[in-house]
Amino acid sequence: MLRLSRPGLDGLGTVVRLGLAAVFLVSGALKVIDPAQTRVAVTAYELLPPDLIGPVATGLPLVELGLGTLLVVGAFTRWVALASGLLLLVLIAGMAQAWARGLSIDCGCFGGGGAVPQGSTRYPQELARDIGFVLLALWLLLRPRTALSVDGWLRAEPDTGWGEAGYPAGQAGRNEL
Amino acid sequence: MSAERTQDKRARKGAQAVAAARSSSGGSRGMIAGIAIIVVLIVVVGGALLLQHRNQPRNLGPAIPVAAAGPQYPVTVKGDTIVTGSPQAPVTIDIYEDFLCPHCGAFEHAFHPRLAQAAADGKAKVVYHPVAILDSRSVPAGYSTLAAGATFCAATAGIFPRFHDSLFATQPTEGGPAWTTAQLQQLGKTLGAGDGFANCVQTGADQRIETATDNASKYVSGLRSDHLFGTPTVLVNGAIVNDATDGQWLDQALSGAPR
Repeated sequence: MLRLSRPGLDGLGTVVRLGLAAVFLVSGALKVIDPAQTRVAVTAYELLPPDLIGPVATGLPLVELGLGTLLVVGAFTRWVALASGLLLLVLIAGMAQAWARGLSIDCGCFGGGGAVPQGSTRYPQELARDIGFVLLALWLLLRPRTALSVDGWLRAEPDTGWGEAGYPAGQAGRNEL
Repeated sequence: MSAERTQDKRARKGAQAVAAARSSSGGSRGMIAGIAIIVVLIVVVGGALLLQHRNQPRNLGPAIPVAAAGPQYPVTVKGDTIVTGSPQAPVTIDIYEDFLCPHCGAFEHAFHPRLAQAAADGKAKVVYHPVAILDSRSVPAGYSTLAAGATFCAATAGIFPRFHDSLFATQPTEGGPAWTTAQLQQLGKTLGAGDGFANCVQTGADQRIETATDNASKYVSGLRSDHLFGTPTVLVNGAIVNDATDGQWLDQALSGAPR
């Protein structure tokens, strides 16, 4: 079996981290530039009371952009991975309930969204894709150590104690996974 | 390379400073990273908020602005259509439009004055087919059907021209808030519609609009090689106009008409 060295795993982790970052930055940006469409997409889930649709449509893309930014720089990787995973699970739950209720909508994950004609929904693909993103988040949750990251830069600081303190609990001293 | 060295030097210097003040605070890198991350987050989220705000659909006013009166032309409701101009006119122009569709708004803006004039002069019979294909694209949903239904009420009440023109002159943004039933009723009242109008708008014409949309979709897609139906669709004497964006189609349609 192929066994990767620590730098190899760090490098792979970096790819995972930047991949997940790209997902959030792109999806957040596409929603931000078309707030009306985002509102339509959120409304289409028929899940939220009217008063909450506006705040969610405004806030969700900002959260996505924030997570994407933290992932790009590799700060608080474990916590950001946890938050990303939870957010993705919420989105997956929203799509799953829409599917189960027979709503005919586009998930609006990357812009777009809203009602689509009967028979042109793509729930299986959309769910599979998001579950793939959850796996990326899961990798970073279990092994947040990546190359080219703020976390790594902090960890490498000589003799200040911040290398450990700035790192999420549990990772200290755990170099291999 | 040199930047890296400078950074290293700075880090070392910082580390020394930290070592000196070790008892009270954390490392310099933590401080730098913390500040940098906060600044970057503020820039990203702040920029996004600004962008979001700028791209927000504009809010509609409390009442629908009333469009100015144009040329007078006869209006009759015929099945799923609103027929304007003389039935004996030499040219028939069919217009399929959704009141929320931005391209329909652009089309109306570009051509409505000439179409209204042609109808008034007896040069063209202009047949409007109000359809609803963008019901999901307003907040709340359903403006396309509501407006299309109200337009039939307006035709019956004798206020079609200015009612129709007003809805396109101040068109709600696709994906944004739309005019409400009460606002449509108010517009009719302002234009002098009788008491029956408000009732008619309230009752709606959902079934009629749905049927009209289905029929239009079947008919128009049958005329097109790509079998699609979109709005606006324009027919001149039953033939589909492929490019209704510049005025040539209308020049041609009207030039065929005897004076």
